Amino acid sequence: MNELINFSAHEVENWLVFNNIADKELYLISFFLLFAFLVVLLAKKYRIPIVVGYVFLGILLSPDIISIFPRIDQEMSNMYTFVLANLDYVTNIALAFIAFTIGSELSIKTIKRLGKSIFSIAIMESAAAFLVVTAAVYMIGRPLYMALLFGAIASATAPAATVMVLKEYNAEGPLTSTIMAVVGLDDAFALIIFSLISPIAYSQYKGEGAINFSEVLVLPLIEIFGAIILGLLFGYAAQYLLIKFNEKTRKILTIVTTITLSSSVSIFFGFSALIANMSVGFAVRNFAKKNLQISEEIDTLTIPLYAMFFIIAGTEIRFSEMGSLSFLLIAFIYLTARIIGKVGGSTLAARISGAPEAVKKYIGLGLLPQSGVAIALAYSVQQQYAQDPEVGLLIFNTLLLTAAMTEVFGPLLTKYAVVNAGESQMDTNHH
Amino acid sequence: MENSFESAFELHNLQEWFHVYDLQTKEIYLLAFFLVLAMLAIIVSKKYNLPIVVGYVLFGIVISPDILNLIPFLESEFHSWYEFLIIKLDYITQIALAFIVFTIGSELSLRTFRRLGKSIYLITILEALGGAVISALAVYLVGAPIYMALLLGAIAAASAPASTIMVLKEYNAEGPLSSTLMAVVGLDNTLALILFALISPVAMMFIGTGEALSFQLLLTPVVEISAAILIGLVIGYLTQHYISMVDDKTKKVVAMLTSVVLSSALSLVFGLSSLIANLALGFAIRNFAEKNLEISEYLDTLTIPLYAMFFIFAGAEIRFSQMGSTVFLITALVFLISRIIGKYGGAILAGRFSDAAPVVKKYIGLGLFPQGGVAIALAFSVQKQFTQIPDASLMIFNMVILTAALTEIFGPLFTKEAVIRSGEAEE
Repeated sequence: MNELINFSAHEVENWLVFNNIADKELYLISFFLLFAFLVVLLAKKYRIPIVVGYVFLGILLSPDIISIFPRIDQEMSNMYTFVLANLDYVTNIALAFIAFTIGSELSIKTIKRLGKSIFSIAIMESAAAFLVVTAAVYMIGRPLYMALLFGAIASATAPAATVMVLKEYNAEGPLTSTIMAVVGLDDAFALIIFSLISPIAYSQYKGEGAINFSEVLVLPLIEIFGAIILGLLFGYAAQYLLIKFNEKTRKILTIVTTITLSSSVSIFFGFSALIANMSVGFAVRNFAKKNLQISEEIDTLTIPLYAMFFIIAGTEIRFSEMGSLSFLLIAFIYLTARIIGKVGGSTLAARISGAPEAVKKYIGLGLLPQSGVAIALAYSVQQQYAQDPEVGLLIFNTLLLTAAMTEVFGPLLTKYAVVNAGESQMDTNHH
Repeated sequence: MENSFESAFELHNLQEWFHVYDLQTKEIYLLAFFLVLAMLAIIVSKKYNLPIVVGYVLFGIVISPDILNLIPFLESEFHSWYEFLIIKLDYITQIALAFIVFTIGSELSLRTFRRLGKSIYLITILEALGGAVISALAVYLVGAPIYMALLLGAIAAASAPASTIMVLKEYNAEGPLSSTLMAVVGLDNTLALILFALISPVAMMFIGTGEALSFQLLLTPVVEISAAILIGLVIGYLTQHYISMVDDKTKKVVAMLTSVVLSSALSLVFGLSSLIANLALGFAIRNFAEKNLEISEYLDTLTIPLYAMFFIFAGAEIRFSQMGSTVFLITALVFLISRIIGKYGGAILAGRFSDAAPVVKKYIGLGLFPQGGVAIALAFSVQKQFTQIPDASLMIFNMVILTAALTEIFGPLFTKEAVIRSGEAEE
């Protein structure tokens, strides 16, 4: 393997050309789009959120399932996995757009009205998920460091699926605003929790003490505040240009460039790309003195982007690694404990902070999906514990399994929540 | 080429390799970089009133390797990664090409053509073939190989709808000349695409890699073109049928995207021209539909970033180091001038035989000079298809980009002149 790492970009480039990877990439995309089209048809017909259909489709198209088909040999299935993995940058761009959407939904007015409960809900739901999962995993006899790692990862929530459901059902109201803001802020709190806990877990694992907390805490704070400043600056510039430009081409390029560029720059400086684009969205919404009329265009642009994103998210599941009973037990415990923590923590916070009735009742149902970010965290754990591969692999596989599951039933619950809270503006009873 | 990493085990490692070098991040950097250039391009093109395509191509040229090499502090590592990522993201340019051609097809409205009368066909055929034949001959006479003359000729048939529309909009032009011009520039692009599909196997034969000239050789492209058209028409028919039944935006957008990418993929699988398939697709969607499908708004939105990337990328592919030779400069100049003579002459000739309105006969030739997206797209295809003659295909590519940039800058001035003199401009 190490020999291969030494191959030059030029050699790999020749290989890509030789094997017609570009054509294969195109085949894969057309194949995905065709299925996505069928998913849209079915999802609309049976009135389930489209995102559920996409993720489910992704699960069906995951390499493990694909390789079951009789005429697909090992080589083809490997090529499939490879071509699929080449699309991973789409994930980043899609997430950036989602973050932008979240930010642009948050007006200063909403924050003034709901700010207190939003903050307490975000803090409590992430802390509670961490505590409950850590305790549960520890109680079934796993070592403390592993329980801590599971707990830290459990605090993260994936905004994408939830936001997409809210958009699809044209949801509007206090519950919607609260969910939007909480899934956004969650990223910051989960980041802090993970950054704090991960070194503690590592020293537990190594059996050495002494962690420098000031150091541990500074890094995530830089990540967060750097992202906020960057996002606000870019967002300010973007809305200035958007007001000046009145032609469609210029407007669209301004938006797409701002979003992609803020992601790039924040990745470059090690800031949180998600928070940066939330701030961009927030700045564009709140600095602009008039309605910029861009939401229609963003909607159109993100239709194919999200389709690819959620299908790819689904394909990340790996069934072949999941045979053993002890694995299924830990996955089940993780999933249940996290739900208890998220729902319990957020509901409690909503009650304490005097949130509107609908928020108290339903807030937990918008916080269940977990995906890309959590899997990325699990991946970093896997690398940190490279000398003990079982640890990393167990966490990684748990996340792969549960993330796909939460992305399927999470959006269903979110839909249930907004429809029952009466915040869906779409007529869901008949078509 | 020796292929040292074929087995499954190594494919997995290649993935690891991508991970180690963090390609995912590099790809995002590259996209952001291109988009920033696109922003600069739209700001500059607005200021100097240039077609946006020209702006994109010019900013692409700025980042072409020969220019970037002039900057001292850029390391060679940057270049190798840049080249690498471009190859890895090649499918994006294929999708962009598909959409460019699809858009051309979807602008061919038979209803409009019927209204404008038969003269538009005659004008199109004569001006497009005039440009093609004269420029092919001229280029051949100054010593270019015959395959190069043929390919350049096919590309010469195309003109630029985008910059024409820009001028017409700017002057709020209305009347027989304006509407005929719109139809003709749409049609000659179609003709150029078909001509290109017919010519490339012949050119391939002259290079010596194809089969000898035979009935079969001439028949094969005809069969292939028909098959590609069939794919486009069938998918197009189904798509428009579906889209006309729904009014949900997601459904429309996903159906449209699927049909474009699927037509490309299918024609690739069967070794057919994906350009022709998508042209037929656009045509079918436009003409089979009994009502306005209201998709052009969505199509515009989706293709804006895609086109920006594509044309910047096309500009970046230009190689100045290959342009210094007198042979290149002479051929390019001859191509530029002979194409204009052929087009203008063809249009004048058509005016004699057709029953078009006098303003049309007199001025239409002036509006056909700009060479735009389709020419660039075709030049791009040459570079992709004719890999066995890298130098010649690069030369064709350079020449078309160069002349396209020039004609897009001065061509619209003539279009403006035509519109003003005909009295159709509203000022």
